[in-house]
Parts: sequence; C-alpha cells; structure tokens
Amino acid sequence: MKCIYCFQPIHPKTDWSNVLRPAIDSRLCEDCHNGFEKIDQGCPRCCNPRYQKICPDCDRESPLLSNTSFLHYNEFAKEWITRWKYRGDYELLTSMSAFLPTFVRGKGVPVPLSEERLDERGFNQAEAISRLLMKKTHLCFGRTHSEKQSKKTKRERLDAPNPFYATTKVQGHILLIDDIYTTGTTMKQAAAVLKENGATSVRGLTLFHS
Amino acid sequence: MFSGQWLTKEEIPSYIDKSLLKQHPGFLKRQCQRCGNTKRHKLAKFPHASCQRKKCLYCRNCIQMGRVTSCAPLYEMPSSHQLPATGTLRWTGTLTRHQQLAADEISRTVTTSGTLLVHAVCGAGKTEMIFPGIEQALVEGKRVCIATPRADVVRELRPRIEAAFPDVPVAALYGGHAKQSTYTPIVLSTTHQLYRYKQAFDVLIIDEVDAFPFHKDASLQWASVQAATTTAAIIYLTATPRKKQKRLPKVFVPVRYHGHPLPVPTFHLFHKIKTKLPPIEKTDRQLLLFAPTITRAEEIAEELHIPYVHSDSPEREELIEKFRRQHIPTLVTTTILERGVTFPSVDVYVIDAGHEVFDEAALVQIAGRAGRSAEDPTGDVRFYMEGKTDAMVEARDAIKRMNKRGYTP
Repeated sequence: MKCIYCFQPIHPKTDWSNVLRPAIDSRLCEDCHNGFEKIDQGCPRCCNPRYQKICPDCDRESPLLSNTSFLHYNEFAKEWITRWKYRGDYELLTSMSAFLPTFVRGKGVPVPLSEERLDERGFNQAEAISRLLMKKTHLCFGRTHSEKQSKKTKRERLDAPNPFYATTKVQGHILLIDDIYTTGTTMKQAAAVLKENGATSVRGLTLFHS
Repeated sequence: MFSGQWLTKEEIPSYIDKSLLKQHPGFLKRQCQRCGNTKRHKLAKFPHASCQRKKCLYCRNCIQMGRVTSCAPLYEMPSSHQLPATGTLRWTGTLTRHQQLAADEISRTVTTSGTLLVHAVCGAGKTEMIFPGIEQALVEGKRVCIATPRADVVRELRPRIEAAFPDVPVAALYGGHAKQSTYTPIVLSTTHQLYRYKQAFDVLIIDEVDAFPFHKDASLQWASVQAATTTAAIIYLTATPRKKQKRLPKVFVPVRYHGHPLPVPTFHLFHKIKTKLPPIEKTDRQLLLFAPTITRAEEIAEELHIPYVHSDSPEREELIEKFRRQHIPTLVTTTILERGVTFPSVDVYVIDAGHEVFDEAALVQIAGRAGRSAEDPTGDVRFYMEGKTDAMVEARDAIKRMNKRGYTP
C-alpha cells in the first residue's frame, strides 16, 4: 500500500491496539500524517487555535452559532490544499477521514461555488467534504462570481457585498461545511442567507482553521 | 510562446483559438497520454462538474502541471521553428584527445539523428564535450534540450551554457521555475519538466541518465520519448551506465580532462556502537561528508556543529553556493550532491557506506567528486563502514578498471 500524498510505501505497525481490529485507515504514511497538527484547544465558539477563551471575532452577534475545525492551517496543510483544491487532486480528500468524526449532527449544507469557479475547478471542495462526512447533502443556495477569498485582505472581505442568494426554502438545524475558516466572513454571510430562508440554527464545520 | 508544449484546456490563454490546435485524448486505455502513467495508485476518479459524469478518470502523477482528465482533450501547440540561430560557440578552451573523439561522435550523432551513449568518467568534462554538438545543432536550426534528473545540475549547468553561448537565449526549467516565457533554441530542464513538451526537440541530451529517479521511473522515460521529435538525435551522458543502457551505441572516455587518474577510495572500519562518528581530521582541503539519510545527516551536523543540506532544506542553493566559494570548510549532505556538481578541491568521506542507498553507481559518482580541478587533481576518498558490501568493492574495482583502461596504451 502506498501513501496517497507522497506515494511512498506504508509499513503498517502491529501493536496491541490494532492486533485484533485494524486501525482507522488514513491512507497517509506516518510522516505525512504527522505533518498535520490537530487543534486541541481553541476559541470555544469558532475553534480559533490562537485563543483559549472567546476570541474578539466571536464576541459580536453573528448568524453562525458556532464552528468546528479540526486541523491547523500550517505549511504542510497549505501544500496539501494547493494540490487538492487548486491542482484538483480530488482523491487526496480520502486522507482526511482519519481526522474527521464518524458522525455529525445536522443537515449538511456545503458552501457553494459560483458557476464560473466550479467550471474552472471541476468540483466543489465543500461538497466533497460533505460527501465524505454524510450520505445526503443539501444544495439550497447559490453564489455570484467574485474574486477568490484567499486573494483578498480582511478589510476587503468584510466590505464585500454578500455573494450568496437562496434558491429554495430550508428548515431545521443546518451544518454549514467548508474547507478553511480564515476570518469567518464567508461562513457568516452564508449563515445569514440560510437564516433568512428559514433555518432554525446554523453551525459550521471546516477542515482547517488559520 | 508555448511552442511544442502540451496544454490542458484551462492553461490555454483566451487569445489562442482552441479549434486550430491539434487535439489528443487525455487517456488511452487507462494510460495518461502526457506522462504515460498506468499505475493504479496514481490514477483516480472524481465527480467532474464540467462533464457531468460521476466518475471521471484523472492522472495524479503529473497533476502538478494541470489535471489531465479522460473527458477533456490535451492540446498540442505546434513546434515553431525559427531561423537558424546566429549565436556561435564562444568557449575558448581546448578539448583533450579523448574529449575530441567523443565530441566528434556527438556532432555526428546530431547530424544523423541517431542515438548515442557517452560513457565518460567523473570529471572527464562532459559539458565541454557537448558544446561542439550544440553548436552544430544550432547551425542546422535545431532545437536543443539538455535534461537531467537533478535540479541542482540544471542550476549548475545554466551559467556554463550561458557563458559558452552568450548570444543564444537559454531557458532553465526546474520545479518552481517552470514557466517558459519565450521560444529559446536551448532549453535546460529537469526530466520532470519534459512532461510539458510534445514533439518539441530535435536534439535531446540527457545528462546523468542513470540517476534516480529517471532510471527507475517508466513515466519519466516515456516523457523523454514524447518530448523529442520522431527524428530526434538522443544523446545520453553518464559516468556509470546501467546494464540496460550498455547495449546502445557507445563512446567511452576513460580519462579525466586533466589527465590524472581517479582517486581510489580507501575503506575504513568504524563501529557505531563505540563512537557515533569516525575521527575526522582537518586538512587544508574542504571536506564533503555524505550521509545515507536525512536524519543521519542532521545527527552528524549537530555533532560537529556544521551545516547540512538535503532535498527539502530551504537554504539548499545558498549553502551549496557558499561551499563552492569556499566560505564553508565542511558540509554534510545526503546523496543529492552525489553527481553533476563540481567543487574545486575537496576530500570526500562517506559515513555508513554500507547503507543500501549507496549502490555501486552512487559510490563511483561520490568518489568522482574529489580531485576535479587541474590544480589539485587528487583527493582523499574514504568509505567509513561497519563491514564491506558488494557495492563498495564493485565501486572500487570499477574505478581501478577505468584508471587501468585510461593509462595503458
């Protein structure tokens, strides 16, 4: 078996923890697995790893109830994201299953891409994550085309108009899914639109938190 | 601008009319047509939004250069040939008798579009031998590519080629510096970057052809075949040909350019259980220490308080440059510096020479780092080991054999 990221052969270790039941298969070799850092403690509302208490961003009233992130956005993660999202190596996502929970609550709603971006990339990265987490994904809103969030500064992100628009009514508790949580602007704008369209509450889930 | 390159749909700038370009399918029989990859773990399927298919095949091997999918064609930019380059060879050195023989053979191969293996010992002056051949190709209006598996070798070759052909534009392509902005008659490139080219070069020179990863990676060999035109001259250069390569038409250069024999390695026993490191004496030469793995290199560097380089180290280029200018007396390295690089006057010690990464070819190449300049044609090559391996003995015998062939009439 070869590591899905670096293509080196994996030598599985046998010890008492996996002698009876195979360990959770992450499809990553040990070095690549250790390249990712788990977020142990962070802001209790948005998982910001730089704060232990409620962070200043979360002090304000927001439509997003809370957010859960699993990994630090370190250099290794940046390279991983570049290959997965920008180069389009879809298969890499299966390596994330080792870091994600097996069960999540709420209706999974991936953050949409604009049609132009979807055509350029070939897949929606948020939808890919939601497919990994749960069987059913709900596509209930769209997005107008604008510059990539990752190319903008914080000020520009906050000043930009809300790019999301609703297509169908929703109800119940929503789990909003995306790949990276940076300032939270995207998530909050999307949450606001979902709330206006009948969602009871909106929580967030992202792979990385920078 | 993209002359002779493969392009995916996304890469084509909007001012080029796609329908005019020659199209190739991305996949034929589950084989990526750009890199020739058929390995199952390097192929995958994904739900593609553009083609609406749930399982669209794509290649993970060459994805760094844009995704090749089964639903979209690959476009081939036709190779635009310009007028014969006016630039000529400005190199003023002279070739030795042996070099001249090989150089003549190379020039002949360029004209007749043949295949040739140049087997020249380390430090024979391989780069100088190809100069007349390159000039010949430029006069005939041919496009030349010098490819090598190592990025460090590309970086070292570039100034030498530029100095020899000052009027000819040269492009150097390696990971991170891979965009070719204009057509150039001479392209220096790592073998990985050859994935980008389709029927582009009339003369393809592959330096260090037996080096990792080229000699084991079938897809890189596929890329080199694809990058050359069907009537191209292909010239392989190496100091340590593998068995498979020995069948090619061959020219052998047994003597170094300065005429002195290759330094023969000596074997020294040391036991890791007693001391972490063998005793290292200071001489007036610079010292290059080879370690088998990155962790071992790190360990040695910490022990002796000296810098070390490996394939991922951030200041790799900087440190190698400093060592070349003799600002650093001692440097620890992994096998990345085993070939293609020249330091004027060094001693070479191999720590843990019995490790499996040091095969015969690697050890011959490492021994060839010593005594490369005419001012200081000798050097101390030592293999520190816990026990002799076949590779070490074979490497020593090979060096002795080459010396014998070079110095008996």
